[in-house]
Amino acid sequence: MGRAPPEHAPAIVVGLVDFGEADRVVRLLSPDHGLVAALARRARSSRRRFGGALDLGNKVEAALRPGRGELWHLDAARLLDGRLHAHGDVERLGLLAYTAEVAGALARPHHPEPRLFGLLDVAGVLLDSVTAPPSPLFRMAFEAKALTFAGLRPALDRCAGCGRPFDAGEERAFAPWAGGAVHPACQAGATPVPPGWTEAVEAARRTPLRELVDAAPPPGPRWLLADAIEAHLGRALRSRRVLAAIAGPPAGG
Amino acid sequence: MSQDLDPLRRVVAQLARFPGIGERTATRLAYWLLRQPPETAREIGEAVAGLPDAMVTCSVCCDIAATDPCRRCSDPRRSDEAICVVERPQDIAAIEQSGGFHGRYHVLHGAISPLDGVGPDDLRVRELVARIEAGGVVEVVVATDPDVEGDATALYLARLLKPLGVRVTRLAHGIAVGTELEYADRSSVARALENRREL
Repeated sequence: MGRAPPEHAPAIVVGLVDFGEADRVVRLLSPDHGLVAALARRARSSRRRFGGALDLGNKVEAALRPGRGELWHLDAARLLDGRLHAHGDVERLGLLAYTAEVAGALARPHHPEPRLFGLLDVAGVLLDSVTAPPSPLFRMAFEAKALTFAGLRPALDRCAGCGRPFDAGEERAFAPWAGGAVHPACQAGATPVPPGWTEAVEAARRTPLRELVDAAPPPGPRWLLADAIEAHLGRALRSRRVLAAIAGPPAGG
Repeated sequence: MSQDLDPLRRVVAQLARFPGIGERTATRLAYWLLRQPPETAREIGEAVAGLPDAMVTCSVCCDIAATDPCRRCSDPRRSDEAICVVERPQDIAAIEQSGGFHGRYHVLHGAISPLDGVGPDDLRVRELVARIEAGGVVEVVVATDPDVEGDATALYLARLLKPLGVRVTRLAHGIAVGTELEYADRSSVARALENRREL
């Protein structure tokens, strides 16, 4: 019995690990299959089948075949969008990697993830088209949307502790481990947020990313949604530390 | 644990620890060794065993070398005005074989890799900055790989080093020499167009 023909599916590269002498294990986010780990044989030496398509954040048409276990086979990949202009700015490149890691970490294996795929695709297109690093609110909105599309919508209009909607002007804090904003009395140790912070983040969550590229972030903490993602994953996002290290003017020496 | 195995299985287990060598290849190598004169295995074993003590990190360029400073850093015929920055020690060989560069080198021992959590502080960037601040360097040629990690590293270095008054350049990427345009992949053509130059 011959092997099954590959299925051609759009996908975004969200992870790469070199394997053996010339192979690679590629993590792909696909709308129909969600997170797929696939072995790309001779990916580091074959220009014909992969032709520079397998780089982090690239959108490709992947020729995929199911394997015996969790690992699929990637027979070939055709580049659809290489996010080439984002490769000209270290901060946008860092964000491209960060969004890929977040979407890949929240996607379920072998389960349709059209909304997470669409979000990551739009983020990649925008990072490729802008001429300067986008506002921090762009990243915060991406995190809030990614959590939402993964079924983990952050609580921003009601307390994640007691469930009661916030009253206008009521003091609020954010508890990543509880999944969102809380009354300070409901969760000890939660990070206080200034007035208007939860409303601004909730509005950003509902706003298309393209409208947030230049939008000013609300005063207050900027990494609480990333904290919520990490609390859900039970581990740190590796690219977060690097993103902070390469952002802004580097310290000399 | 491999101490408990018979000698042949122990050799196979040790050889299989090399990257790119599976158990089948390790077994083939072990049987090949058994077919050779005994001194062959001894010479290979001595060479491997002596490697960690024989090699040092060059305090100037951070390459792995037998001497400190390494022979390239000690070579008076090389230009001090240009430094070629590479990710890995073995990348130097690729540049040297081209015959097109006669300056000094600097090995970063990696690249900025967001998904691996590798940032600038994990690389030999401080040593590079110190070399440039010492004076005499006119150009830094960044020879990192043309991928997300290599591009991020190159861009970071450019932002860091340009204020120090040096010219920062990058190896061109695009269509490989000998490739016919109709057979070139989309990524390479796009990069070649991005990096086109005036004639």
